[in-house]
Amino acid sequence: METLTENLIKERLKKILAKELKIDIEDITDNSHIVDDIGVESADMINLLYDIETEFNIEVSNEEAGKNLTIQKMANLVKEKISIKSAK
Amino acid sequence: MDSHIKKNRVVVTGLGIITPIGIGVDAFWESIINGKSGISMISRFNVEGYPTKIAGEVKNFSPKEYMPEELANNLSRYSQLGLAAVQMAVKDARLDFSRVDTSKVAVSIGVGAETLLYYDEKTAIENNNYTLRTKSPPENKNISNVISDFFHISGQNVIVATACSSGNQAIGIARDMIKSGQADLVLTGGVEAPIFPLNLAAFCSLRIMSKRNDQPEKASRPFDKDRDGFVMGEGAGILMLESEENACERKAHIYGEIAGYGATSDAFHMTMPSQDRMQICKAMRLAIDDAGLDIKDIDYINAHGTSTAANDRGETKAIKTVFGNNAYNIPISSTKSMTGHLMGAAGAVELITCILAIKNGVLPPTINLEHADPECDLDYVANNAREKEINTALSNSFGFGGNNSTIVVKRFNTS
Amino acid sequence: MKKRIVITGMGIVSPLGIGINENWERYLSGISGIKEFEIEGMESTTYAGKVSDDELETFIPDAKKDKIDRFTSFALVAAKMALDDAKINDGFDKEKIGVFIGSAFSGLNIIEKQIKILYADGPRRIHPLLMQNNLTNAPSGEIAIEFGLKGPNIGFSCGACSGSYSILQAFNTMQHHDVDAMVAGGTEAPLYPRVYEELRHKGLFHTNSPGLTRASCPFDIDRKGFVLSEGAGVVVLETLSSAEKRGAEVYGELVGFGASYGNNDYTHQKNPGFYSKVFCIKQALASASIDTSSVDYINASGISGIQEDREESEVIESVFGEGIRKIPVSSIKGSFGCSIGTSGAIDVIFSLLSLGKKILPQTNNLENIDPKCSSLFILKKPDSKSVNTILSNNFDYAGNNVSLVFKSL
Repeated sequence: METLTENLIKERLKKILAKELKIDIEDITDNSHIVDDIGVESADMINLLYDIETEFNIEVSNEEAGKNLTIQKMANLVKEKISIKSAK
Repeated sequence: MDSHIKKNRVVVTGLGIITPIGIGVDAFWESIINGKSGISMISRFNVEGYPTKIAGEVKNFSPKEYMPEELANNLSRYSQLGLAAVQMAVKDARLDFSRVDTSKVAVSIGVGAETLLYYDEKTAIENNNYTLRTKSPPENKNISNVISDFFHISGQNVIVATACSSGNQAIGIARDMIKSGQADLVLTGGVEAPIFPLNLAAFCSLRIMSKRNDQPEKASRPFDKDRDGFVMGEGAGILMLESEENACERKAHIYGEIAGYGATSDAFHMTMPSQDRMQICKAMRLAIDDAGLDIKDIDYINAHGTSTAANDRGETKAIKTVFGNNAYNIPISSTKSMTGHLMGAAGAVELITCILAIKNGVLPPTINLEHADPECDLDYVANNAREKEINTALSNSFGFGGNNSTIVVKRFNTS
Repeated sequence: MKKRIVITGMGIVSPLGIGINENWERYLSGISGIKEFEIEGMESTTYAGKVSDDELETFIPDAKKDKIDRFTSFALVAAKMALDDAKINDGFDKEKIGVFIGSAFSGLNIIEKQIKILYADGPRRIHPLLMQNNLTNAPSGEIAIEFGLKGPNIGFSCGACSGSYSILQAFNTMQHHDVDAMVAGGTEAPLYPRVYEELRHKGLFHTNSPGLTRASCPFDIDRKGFVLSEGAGVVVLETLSSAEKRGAEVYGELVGFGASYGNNDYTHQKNPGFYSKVFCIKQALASASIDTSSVDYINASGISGIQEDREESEVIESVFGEGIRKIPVSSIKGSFGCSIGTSGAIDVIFSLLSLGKKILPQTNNLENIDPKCSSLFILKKPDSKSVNTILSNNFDYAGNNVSLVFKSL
């Protein structure tokens, strides 16, 4: 199983957001806030989390997402969940 | 003289009901006043891998009691429930179809997701993942057509689909048919059989369902601070609506009057309610005005009350906006606390509940209300049914699509 | 006092194209939208009326692409056209416009996809858009959201009468509620193996006839059953007073209608299908306060069904008697196929266009009239004629019937 580096995770997250919101991937930085900067409305957060869960084969609860709303933080969360999974 | 008074109100002359807490009006009402929950572990398909494993299943329903086996085999579950409940309503109304102009008998039934549920049932059976039957019907027969076939009636036939408010809206449409003179009688209400693998997965994916699998009977807790989402249930609620003139002519027993109907759209989002709740408020106001009433005339509110924070808080705020300080004096309950959310059937089952509350002088409770959400501080008839004479009731239903529907029902007075 | 209801806007998405003028011009020049297609999941090619994906793509708002199901995209595009056509702009009180859109099969596309995912990958891989995309009221809901329309909002499911019932119920709603306009019509995207399987099982359905390039040919002796198609037809209904107040152009007035149900499968009743259709037309004429001599043109249901077209001919003959030889009749299904919930709405649109353009459309693909339908005066060529009163029939093979009467203002 390929070890996902933090950078790779961030790239994939940015790609998901760019596709979901139909914006340029260049406009998304590591510190971009998913709601405040990128403009994901709470109504569409569920779709976004589905894409992230599918991409990385993990589960992300609403509470966890709410605490990790920048690209960097979300990437950290994803990385943590992946390593917990592979440790099992 | 009577003939000079225009008898043009729209009244209810028959009821039929099938729910997770009872089949038939008497059994249903008995459970209601005793605060019984119908929620349990889902027993009819494999729930491994589902975050939510509970629902309100109808117990001991045998379609063959209500229709020939061949017909039952050709109907999807929601149609079986619907046709059975229609028969109860027709019997209750003591209607003899041979003495009726059947071209003026219409059918208006609310179903939320009939196409999905038909294919869900079909593929569950094909994948050996459903225990209630082994063969699925060959096509998704339109339930209004099924009802018309059964009783040989030939008026308008529609299915009204507005997701969770379908049952309420179907009744509003039925009332408008009678007011327009296009029907004298309408078999109306709502049905839904949502407890199937794809449908359950679809709702789970929206993250709005309760995961209290270890305590099913406590999972549906509208207005309670420890709620964690709604619980789905299956059922059917059918009302016979009739023009007052027709009902009086055949000396029918009249349960009440469908006095007012208001419908609006948030025009905001398909699954999330609008923050300002203005269109919810408007639906209530329109229904009250349509009934020729004032806000102080509403004796009881049967809330949509799904047991989600978004709805419970939003609806509470909207009730306060519409009723002002009077909101604190009006008893409100969510019977979804007992039946679960019956989806397309909810609006109809809840309107029947209002009618029975007026008839019997008892308000149904909101069960599982142990610690109210601080943002929900109205009188929700917590936990125990309450004896109270009421003359009017308001029933709210809000559906996906930003769909808001309110009906006001009144005690029928002959004057 | 009944409010008078007129039509002030129209929009079509169909196998003939997108837009009212495109559809009218192409129809009149004899083009049929019915072609042989390969439909995913079906073994052989089959005749169908399919909307051009490339053309549709250019009309769907960017933000909605991939977020709504196929049948909703048809309705959204047709609704935008109808609202633009009606010149409903920001000055119109949006709380007083509702949306009623009918569909028999709703979101089959996403339902099919998600069923496969459920049984391959499990429940947690079901997409959160499934619920809002599959619903029969997804089109009406999405139209309301896109254009801010806050009035009553319903999805109707009444088989092939879904579109015409939406128009009928919109009329009723406008009588009893404070609503000035309603966006109403039908949409359908039924080109899936499951639907073909079910319809074939009923035996009503067109089976592939290699020699018959005119697969959908209403009233023709060679017809083999109806041909399935897709699309949307949407109109803007408005109270006459609202239309007059803002100086809107009016296509025509909906002056009356009839509706009934009769299912020939119930054999112990004698001919319920026939009598319920006769009743439906008579009720429509009575509600419009006219008799048969006032009808100038009949826009027939004419779905190219073997039994259905014959029955409709008998029904029309029964209602109109000898006068039927003078009344031109046509069906447009030769070019459009039977788009189930959409069919009634497209018929309404063509009926109204006939009023304004003073041309009665011909019956495309009709070459040899079935002798059993020959009592009717069925148009094989367009007829330049100014007419006043049109009867539009929408008879569903499953037993639902709606007849609508339109008059020029």
